[in-house]
This record gives sequence, C-alpha cells and structure tokens, in this order.
Amino acid sequence: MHTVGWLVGLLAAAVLMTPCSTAFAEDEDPVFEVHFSNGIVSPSVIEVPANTRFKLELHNDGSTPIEFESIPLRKEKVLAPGASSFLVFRSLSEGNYAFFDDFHLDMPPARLVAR
Amino acid sequence: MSTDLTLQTFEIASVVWRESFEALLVVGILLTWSTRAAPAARGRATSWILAGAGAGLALALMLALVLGMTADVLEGDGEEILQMTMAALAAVLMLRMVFWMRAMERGASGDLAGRAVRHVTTGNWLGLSTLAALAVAREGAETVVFLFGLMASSQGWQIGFVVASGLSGLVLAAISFWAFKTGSKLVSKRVLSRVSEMLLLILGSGLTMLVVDKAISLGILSPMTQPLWDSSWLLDDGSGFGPFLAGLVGYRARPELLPLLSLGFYWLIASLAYAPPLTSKAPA
Repeated sequence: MHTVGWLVGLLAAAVLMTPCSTAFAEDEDPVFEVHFSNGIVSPSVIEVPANTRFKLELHNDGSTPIEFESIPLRKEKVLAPGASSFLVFRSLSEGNYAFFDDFHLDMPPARLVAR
Repeated sequence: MSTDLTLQTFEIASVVWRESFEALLVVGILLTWSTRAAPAARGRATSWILAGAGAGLALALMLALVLGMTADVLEGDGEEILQMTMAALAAVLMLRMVFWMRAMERGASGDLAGRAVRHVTTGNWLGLSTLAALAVAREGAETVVFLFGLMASSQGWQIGFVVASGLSGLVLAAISFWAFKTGSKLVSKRVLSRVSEMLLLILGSGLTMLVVDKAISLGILSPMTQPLWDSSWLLDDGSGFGPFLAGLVGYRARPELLPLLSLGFYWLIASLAYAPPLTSKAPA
C-alpha cells in the first residue's frame, strides 16, 4: 500500500513538474454529476461547456460495479458499488461525445454534449 | 436456473474474459514463443514469465484495493498518470521484445538453442518478466474491482454464483490460451514467430494510442488539430465492437493530427525490426 502510494506520488510529482495548469483553480472548476445505477445512467445527456476546464463527478448508486468508458473522451474509470470519484476534463472541443458503462454493455450509451 | 441467471453468468464470464484477454494473449505469446525458440532455456524462461504474471496479479490486487478505497492518490489525474506510465512501459517492452525475437530469428541458421542461451541476458529475462507483469496488472485491477464489487453486493448463495461465473470466464480465457498454444504446435516456427510478433506489435500500437490519449487528456500534449476525419459511420469507437477494437489495436474514428503522427512514428520504429533481413531471404 505504502509502496503504491509512494510510487504514484512520485509519478504525480514528475508530471506536475512539466508546466501544466493542474495546480491552479482546483476548486473553482464547474462540477457536473452523473449517477450510475446497475447500468442506468442519469442524466443520459449532460451539457458541458466547451473549451473549459470542468469536473465530472461519478457516483455509483447501484449494487453492481460500473466502468465509465469513452474512447472519444479519452477517459475510463472503474467504480465499485457505492463508490464515487471524479474525472477532470481540460479542454473539450464542441461536439457530441458518447460514453458507456463497460460492465453493462446491454444498456444504451449516454452522451456528453459540449457547447 | 432462470434465464435471468443464465444471462448474468454469461455477462460476468464475458466481462472477465474480455478484461483478461489481452493479458493472457501477451503471457501466452511469451510462454509459447520462448519455450519453442529457446528449448535449452525453457525452464528459466517459463519461471521468469510466470513470476512476472504473479507479480502482476499482486500489483492488480493492490491497485484494486487503492481504487476501492477511493484513496486520494488515485482521484482524478492520479489514476490516469499511472495508466499512462504502465501503458508506455508496456508498449516499449513489446517493441523491445519484437526486436529481440527478430535478432534471435536472424541468427537461426546455425544452432538456435546455443544462440538463444547466449542472447538470454538477465536484462532480457527481466524485460520478459516485466512485460508479463504489466500485461496482467493493467487489466487485472479492473477485473478485481468488478468481481469484488459484485461479491460485496450479493448475499448467500449469490456470492458463490458470482465466483462460479467469474471462474467460468477465467476457464474460457484459459481455453483461448490453450487453443493458441495447441495451434502454435501445428504451425512452423517461422509462422509462429511472425504471428507472435504481429500480435505484440498490434497490441503495442493500441497501447501507444492509449498513452497519447492519456497525455492529451492530462493536458501534457495538444492534439494539434481538430479531428481530421470521421469514420464513425463505418465503425464507431464509442459503441458496440468499436471500443474493444480501439483498446486492442488503437483504432480511432475521429483522429487528430498528433495521434496519427504518433501511430505513424510507432510503426516506423516497428518496421525497423524488419528492415535489414529482407535482402537475405524471401518470406516463406
């Protein structure tokens, strides 16, 4: 556990040394919430600002694990039942991006609309 | 057993199979290839690869634990940085492995076994081992969260049901692996090498695209342009079979300039492994 934490800390430090905007305005980003429940995504269409930094908060309210996945959005995240986490989007150009729950592939995908 | 339960078994098994497919493919290629190309060093090769796979499994469990506890280190960017680093390391090791395979093949005129043993330095074994570990750890953590999440949310006999479904997914993966191993005995060594190399290179290109995507997503690199084209009408990378293919080989429906350049650069380096021997012998 400690080794992993240390390793990740080191990696994070290495990346942060390269110039990037992570350190600034961490708490002022607009936040959008998505709830997952056994494959059902709500809301199924989320409107977000284009070309702006924002946070997407993921909540797994269901009784089964979920995986947020989207190739066009370049994101993936696994959540155990009851768990919450977030994803940081830096700059999304205008468009319509599909994402889906990789552990419930029989359910329809949801969309992120950047304007 | 109701149809609902059958469906659920199928779902759990297919998720476990899908998540472990890449790992098993890599471990399978390494095992099959090294036991055939270097018979003299078979025992050592196998134990290095298996030790790597074991270490990967331990790493996957640790990662799953961190993910499950939603520890701060892996919130937001932390997990992406870790994924990017692991994928980059794996892609480099896959390229290196193919170059090594080519080097041994090129010296195949004389005594292959002797050459193989001479080629086999500690660094190469460690590379082999690390590659196996990364392949297992990368997909393993997700599988562990998936299975433990399901188990935690079920009660009584349902837990056993989840375990059984997960096991059948593993058995399916083992059958795929066995099929690969058996199939490899039927083909010539030359064909086996070619197929193994191509599979590793294709997986490597998928990893390269993942690394580029993570770097763009983390704001380290810029995609350089808007998407240059949109082939999602033909094969969408956002739904159905597309994402599976995208993860495995690096297909993108709306690629920008940087991902395209990176992919081109990757295959340029990969082709260097094949550049010199083209003059000596025509392919079989």
